[in-house]
Amino acid sequence: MLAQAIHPPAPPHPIAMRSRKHISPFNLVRARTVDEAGQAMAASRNARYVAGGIDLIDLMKSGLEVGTIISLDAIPGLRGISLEGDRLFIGALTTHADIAESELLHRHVPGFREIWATVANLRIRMVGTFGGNLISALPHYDAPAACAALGAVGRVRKAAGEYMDAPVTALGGDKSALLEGTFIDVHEPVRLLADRSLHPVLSVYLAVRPTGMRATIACAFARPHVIDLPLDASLAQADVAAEVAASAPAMMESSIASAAYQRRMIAVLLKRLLKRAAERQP
Amino acid sequence: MRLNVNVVVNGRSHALEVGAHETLSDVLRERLGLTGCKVACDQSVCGACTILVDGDPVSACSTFMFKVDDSKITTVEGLAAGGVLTRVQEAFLQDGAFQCGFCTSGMILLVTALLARDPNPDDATVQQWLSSNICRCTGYNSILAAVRRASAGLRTEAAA
Repeated sequence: MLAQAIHPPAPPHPIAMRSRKHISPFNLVRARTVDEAGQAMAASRNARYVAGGIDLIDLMKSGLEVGTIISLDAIPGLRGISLEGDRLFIGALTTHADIAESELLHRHVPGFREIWATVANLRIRMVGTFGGNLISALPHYDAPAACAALGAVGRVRKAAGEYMDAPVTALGGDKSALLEGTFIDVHEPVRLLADRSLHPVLSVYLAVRPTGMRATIACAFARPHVIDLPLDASLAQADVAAEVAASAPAMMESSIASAAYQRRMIAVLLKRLLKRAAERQP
Repeated sequence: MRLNVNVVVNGRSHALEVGAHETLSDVLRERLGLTGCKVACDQSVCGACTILVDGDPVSACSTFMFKVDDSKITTVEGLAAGGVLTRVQEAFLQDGAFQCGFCTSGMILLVTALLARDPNPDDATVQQWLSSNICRCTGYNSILAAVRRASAGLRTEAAA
């Protein structure tokens, strides 16, 4: 038994805090079930769910004030990857590191694990969650782009208590919706390719199924831009990639890359992925 | 809102009353005096605040204190036992794997976590891990050399 040091309470406003950005105080609810979390959300003003917490803490350091934070850590069943019939389920609290190490995911969606080993940095991968990435849905985040390419749907508890399945591209923005997890249809073989070499300027994802391909373009748009492609698109890579780039909607303003550059690079990165798909490269 | 949080830091148990909004880095530095946990970018990018939570490298600057309730935390101050440096610390000294030293405590903890998982990592794995922490002085070569030295030392130790 270790001797325990009992510390007196700290003064309410300690001087010389090393963190340079002040976080406003808030109430904390540690929910034990999804419904309990939902009820706490309905009963609180200005509440947010927290999973890994990296985005939220960043926003709060930038001045976001939150009345109540509802921690999801203690809710069982929200972390992990499982096969449910023909669908893979990725629990919302599954960390990026869990995904990068998942044998089950690797077996059913080759490529996913390798891509996720390069997402963010190691410390964020240890703590940051797949669900948090989907809900935060910043333009350069990878989970929305990967899931949109795979046609994944999210299981969501809405504020009124009803559950619904929603396309991942519809998940960001509703802070009162609680994501339980994401389903990926694996009834037919599917593999995932990505070119993140220009991230966070541009990322392109490509899901390849026997019946067709779906590309998503991230970073340059508020939500991933989705393009369905026929399988034979991989045979005319340059033409298809150029056509997709030319027809892409207007890009967001960026301080580090012009729209013309991003549009040009869509063609380059997509062509690379189509070539890999045609040659069955990983 | 005030909370009671229990943690074991560097082998010593602590019962702390903290604000729900307090970060792990602030508590380590201001309450426990463990200033080896550096804060630089303050947004989980640079890795200067890297500490170990139950053996995993974590950014203390971007972690609410309530998230680590009932966890075991290791800071750089908790590595050397009785003043005897660990193999990783010794290797950093021998290879001069630091200049200004600001990133060093985070780097040492990162490498400690890596070698605990894989005592003989290949260069690609080492580079992937080191890429998560920023050093603006060394150019990383001396740090890579220190990882190789520490890894070799651990293997020798295991074989003995």
